[in-house]
Amino acid sequence: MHPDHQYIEALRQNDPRGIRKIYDLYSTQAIRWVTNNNGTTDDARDVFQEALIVLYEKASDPAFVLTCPLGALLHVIWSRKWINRIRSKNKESEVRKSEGRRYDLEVGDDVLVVAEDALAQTKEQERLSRAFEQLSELCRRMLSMLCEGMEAKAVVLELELNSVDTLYRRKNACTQRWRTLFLES
Amino acid sequence: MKDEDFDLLDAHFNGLLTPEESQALLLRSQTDKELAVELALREKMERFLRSQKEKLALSDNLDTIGNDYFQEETEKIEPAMKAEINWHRRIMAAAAMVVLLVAAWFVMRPEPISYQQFAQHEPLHFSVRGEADVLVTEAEKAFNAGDYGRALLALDKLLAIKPDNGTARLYKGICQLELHQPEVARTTLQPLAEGRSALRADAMWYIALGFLQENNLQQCKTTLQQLKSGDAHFEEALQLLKKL
Repeated sequence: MHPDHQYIEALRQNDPRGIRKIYDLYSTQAIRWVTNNNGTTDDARDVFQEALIVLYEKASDPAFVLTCPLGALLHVIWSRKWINRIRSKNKESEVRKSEGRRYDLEVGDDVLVVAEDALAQTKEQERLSRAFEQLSELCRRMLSMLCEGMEAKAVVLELELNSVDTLYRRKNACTQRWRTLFLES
Repeated sequence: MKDEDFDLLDAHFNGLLTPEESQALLLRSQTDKELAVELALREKMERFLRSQKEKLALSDNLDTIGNDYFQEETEKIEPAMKAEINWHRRIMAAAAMVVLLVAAWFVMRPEPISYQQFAQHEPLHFSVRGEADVLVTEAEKAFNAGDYGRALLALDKLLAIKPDNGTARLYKGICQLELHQPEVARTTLQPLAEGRSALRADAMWYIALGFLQENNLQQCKTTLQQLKSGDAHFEEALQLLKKL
C-alpha cells in the first residue's frame, strides 16, 4: 500500500480535511498543466474534479488499494480528461500538442495501469447509469429505495404494491431489464 | 447460465438465502466462470446504486472546496452605460463619467498575480550519481511526477548523506513551497542564496516566490531586485516585477 492511500480513504469517507489536502498538494499542478495546454482555470477545476470522481468510483470497490503515487495518477487522469475534451471540440492540432506533453513527466507503468483501469471503470459506470435511466420510474425508485436499506415492507407501502412477494418479483424483473439494457449498450 | 442460477443470484442479493446458501453460491463462483462473471456484474450494479447518494454528496463537497482553489484571474468588465439625452443630462453625464472611471480602474489596475503563474520548475535531474543512487532516482521520479511529499522525503534522506548537495537543497525548497510551507522553504534556501554557488539565483527566485505565496509583495520585490542581468530567472523576475 502506498502512503497516499490515506487520500483514497478521504475520498471514500468524503472527509473535507483529507480532500482539502489533495487540493493543497495537486490543484496548482492541474492549473499549470491545463493552462499550458490552452485551457482556463475553470477547465482545470472541472478536469481535476472529474479525476477525483474517477478515483472515487474506483475506490467504491472495497478491494481497491492505492499502490502508486496519487499525484502522478491524478495527472494521468486529468490530462486524459482534458485531451478527450479538446478532441470532442475537434481541435486536433491542440490534441496533438497536449498528447505530446502528456508524458512530459516520468510516469511508471504501475500508474498507467491504475489510471487506465479507473477510467475504464468510470466508462462502465456511465453505461450502467445510462441503462438505469432507461428503466421505468417505478423500477428506479424501487431499486434505489431497497439499495439504500429501506425495509421491504416500507417500500411496499410507499409504492402501493400488494405484498413483499410482489415487490421482490418486480425488483427481479427490473434488475433483469437493467442488466439487458447495460449489456446491449 | 441456467435460469435457476439467476433466481439464486436474485435471492442472494435480496438477502433471502441463509448464510450457508450464500456461502455455497460464492464458493461455486470460484469454479463456475459464467456464474463468477454474472455475480461480479450484479455486485457492480448494487455498488452503483449504493454509491449514487454518496457520489452526489462528494460532488457537492468538491464544488465547495474547488471554489477556494480554482479562481479565475480575469475580472469581468462592467458593460458601458448608454447615455440618454433628457433634462437629466448633466446628472447622467456625471454618472457615466463615474462608470467610465470604474471601468477604467478595472482595465488599468494590475492583474492579480499568484505563485502558480510563475512557479514553472525545471525537471529534477541530478548530474552526479553515486552511493545514494536509489534516493536520487526516487527523488527525481517523485518530483517530476509532482509527488512533492514523496520527493521531499527522498531529498531529506539524500541531504542527510550529502549535506552539501546544492541541487538537493534547492529542490527540497521547491517541494516545501509546493506543499505551502514558504517559511520553512526560506530556511532551506537561504544558505544557497547567501553563498556563491551556481544555484544562488535559483534560490533567490524561489525565496521571492515564497514571499509571493504569502502575499508579502514588498519582500518579494526586494528579493527580485537583487537578481542581475544574466542570472537565472532574470527575465521572469523582470516580468514579475512589472506586475507587482
